[in-house]
Amino acid sequence: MRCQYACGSDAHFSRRGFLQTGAGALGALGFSGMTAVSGAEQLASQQKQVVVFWLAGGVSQLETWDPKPGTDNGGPFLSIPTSVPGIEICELLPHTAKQAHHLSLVRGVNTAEDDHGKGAYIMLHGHRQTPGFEYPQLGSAFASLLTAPENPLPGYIHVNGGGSPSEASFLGPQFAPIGLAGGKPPANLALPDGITVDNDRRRRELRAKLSGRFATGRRQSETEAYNASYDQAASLLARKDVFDFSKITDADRERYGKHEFAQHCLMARQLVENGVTFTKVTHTNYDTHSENFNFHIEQLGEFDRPFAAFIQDLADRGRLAHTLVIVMCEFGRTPRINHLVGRDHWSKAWSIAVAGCGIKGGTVVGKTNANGTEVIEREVNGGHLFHTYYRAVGLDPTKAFWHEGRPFNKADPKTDSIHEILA
Amino acid sequence: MKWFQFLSGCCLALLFTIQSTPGLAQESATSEPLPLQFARRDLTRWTTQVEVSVKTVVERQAALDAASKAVADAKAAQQAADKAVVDAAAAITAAELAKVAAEKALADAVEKKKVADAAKAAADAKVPVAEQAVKPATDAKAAAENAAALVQQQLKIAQERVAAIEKGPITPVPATTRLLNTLTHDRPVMACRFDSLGNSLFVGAQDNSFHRWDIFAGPMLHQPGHGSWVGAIQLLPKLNQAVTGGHEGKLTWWGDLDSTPKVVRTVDAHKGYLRAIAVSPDGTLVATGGNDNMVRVWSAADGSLVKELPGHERHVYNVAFHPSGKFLISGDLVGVLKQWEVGPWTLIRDLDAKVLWKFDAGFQADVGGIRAIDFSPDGKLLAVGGITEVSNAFAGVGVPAVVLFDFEAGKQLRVMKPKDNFQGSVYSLRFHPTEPFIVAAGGGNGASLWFWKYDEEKSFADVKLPGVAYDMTLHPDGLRLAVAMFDKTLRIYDMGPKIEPPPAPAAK
Repeated sequence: MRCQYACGSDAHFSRRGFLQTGAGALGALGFSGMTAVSGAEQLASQQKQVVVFWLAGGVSQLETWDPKPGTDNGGPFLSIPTSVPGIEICELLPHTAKQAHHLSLVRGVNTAEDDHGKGAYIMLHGHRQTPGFEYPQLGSAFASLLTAPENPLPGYIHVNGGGSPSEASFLGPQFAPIGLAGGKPPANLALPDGITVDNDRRRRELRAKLSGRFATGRRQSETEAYNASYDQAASLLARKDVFDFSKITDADRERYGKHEFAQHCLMARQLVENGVTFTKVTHTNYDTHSENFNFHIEQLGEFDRPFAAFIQDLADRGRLAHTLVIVMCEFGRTPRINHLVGRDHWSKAWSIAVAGCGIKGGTVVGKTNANGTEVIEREVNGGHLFHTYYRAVGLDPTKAFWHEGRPFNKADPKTDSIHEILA
Repeated sequence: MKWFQFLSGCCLALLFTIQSTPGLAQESATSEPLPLQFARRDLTRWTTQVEVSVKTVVERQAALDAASKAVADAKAAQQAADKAVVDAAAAITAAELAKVAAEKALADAVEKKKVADAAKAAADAKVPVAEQAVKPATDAKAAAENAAALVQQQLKIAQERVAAIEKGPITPVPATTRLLNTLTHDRPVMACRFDSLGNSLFVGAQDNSFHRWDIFAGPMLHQPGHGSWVGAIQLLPKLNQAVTGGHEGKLTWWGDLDSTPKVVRTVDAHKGYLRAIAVSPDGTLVATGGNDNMVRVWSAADGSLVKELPGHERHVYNVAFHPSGKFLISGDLVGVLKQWEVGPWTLIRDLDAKVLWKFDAGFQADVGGIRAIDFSPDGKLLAVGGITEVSNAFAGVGVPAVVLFDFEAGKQLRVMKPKDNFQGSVYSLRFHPTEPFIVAAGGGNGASLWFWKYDEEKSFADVKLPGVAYDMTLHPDGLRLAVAMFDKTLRIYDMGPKIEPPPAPAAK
């Protein structure tokens, strides 16, 4: 089987370009002139990091970023003022309200897809699913485009979630996520008993030698993936301190909270501070077909304080300026309250929040009608959002990935970035 | 013309002369003297010349005649043209006059059309307005007719009930429970209580308001007073007041219940939802529970805080006073019941109703809680209701359940469930004041009233409801109940025995 992934992609230029240019490897790409990220753009963007807070199941826009108190669809919660005069959010987010000057609220999202899987696909890939083809997920794409070649850490880490090689698609398994399931560090970071560091180095050298001999003339995706997994494991072992969360102070744990999501936010902070390019933190679950308000009290009660502390910490430490933070999910929830006091799936008019790198804080773009059933101003979809994410970190979303001689758009070319919120 | 006639006459005379002397020319050519010959020759030539000249004259005359005619014709044409010009000018003048007149007529017509259009538009506009007025009037008439029919129906039911009771005492027959009356609101209804005379229903709804429904006279009175949904309500009969709890955490006292209710006072009772209110049997204390995990006790008379009861670790969902007035029970999200001694406010014990709670690991959320609570009239039994056997927290899939306790022993007697395969939750329950059964209301994949005997786990009667019931209250006659429903209605049901119509007279 031929190598299936990104032979001419930006990713390979990013990760290996500096190493391969001298050997003339790029010349073999054939369409490098059309595909490659410019060196200057790459250098500029390599300092950028991204953190996604994925509120699985679909958080309610009415109980977060676009409250409609007092209307038939508004529910029982009030809206509260924020640190930005004129911007109000739901009372379930009092701590986040104090960080509103860092946030941009996109209130006119219409992704027109009410299925969990398909909605998630749009939000994480920027496109609708194409039968027989897998776009790389946002995490893998940014890991491939933003990670400096010398960075030994995995480019994409998923806190409280799994990691599937399929997320990287044609970019190659080295850009697939490392999953910290349950917020736990990767297993087997420590060497087995009886294996010294020197033993380990020597056995890895032996393995590399044998693998190299085997791979001669056989360059295939399997062999590359196989070797990449060893390389990645070695990198992880070398920087296993990144996953040592025991050094987080009690004061921080107190400030963030002691529940799991709070710990996951602290982990994300540590990963960002250690240079991990893309961190995804999943908080579950918001699929509240029944008792939407009770469950949002619970879930957002967990989300609010540590998320706000995370934003504040990044800002205080000067990292927010080059870290793009996105709070999103697969869709919003129905404005209409159902008989179980729940809200169902609703993709026609919902919201996300972004902050940090390249984003103009303290802004709102888009508007829904009085009771939140439709977008009446500045409607955007997944394509617009992806254009915006790419622009925010200094990448050109109009330059396609190339795979097997075909271009694959990073973001829907029929859309453009939400320029109003770009700094 | 005279010279032409003269020349013509000379020529004719010469020609006659020559022709009358034919031998003269021959003789002259031979023998006649030359002068004669010349004369004769001259005569011939002049005769010829005369002919020529005459011809010329004739031709000139003809030309002259033609020219004269042309002149005459031209003059005639000129005259005709002059006349045509004059006529055309006159026509222009006439046409201009006609044009002016026509333009005026056009302008007049346009103006008239505008006026007509405006009149038509006004008329067109009046039609739907008039039609709009017809529909409400029609609807109002239909509503009045329906109301009249309902009043007639209620009168008949009341007459039959009086007649039946006059024959002997009657008791509820849950299996035949049937709808008596419906009141439609514009938002889902959250809570309801009958007053002590059964004249009115006091109601809380998702419109942040307090409502009074005179069940005989209607319609419902709406009084704003909360900042969020009104989900709890109790009456203070001795004060002729009501207390309501809002999801914004406020506790509000209402007076003037017999006319237009007015706010007496409001206190900030809880941070977050105020979920439940209970009034002590002597009417002096009001207990509340809320999302700040607190139970608080208030003076019914002046709204002052009597006692704050910490201890619950999760949202407090319900509170109830023991009929003796000696104890207060509070229940929370995770099925913990706490028994407090009224007065010293010490915690006596916890009771376990965790069967009504589940932590759903898939959704990472707690589901359930003490959604309903009541003591038996003699105080020996405590029942709490909610949902159990939850298989999908976020879809509300589970089994409605009532947990029955021997209160004195603090022992759980049984978990009572519907007799059919219903999925949903109990949201309200009541012990019947005189008969040994519990009635509960709730919903999920449908909605229902359920009736349980104390010693049976399965309900002995289920009555389907058209929408999920969030609350229920018993009428003081013990024969009727009202439910507050998601479908924006309040419905009154009759549990009394069906009155059979009198037998038809035997045919003769």
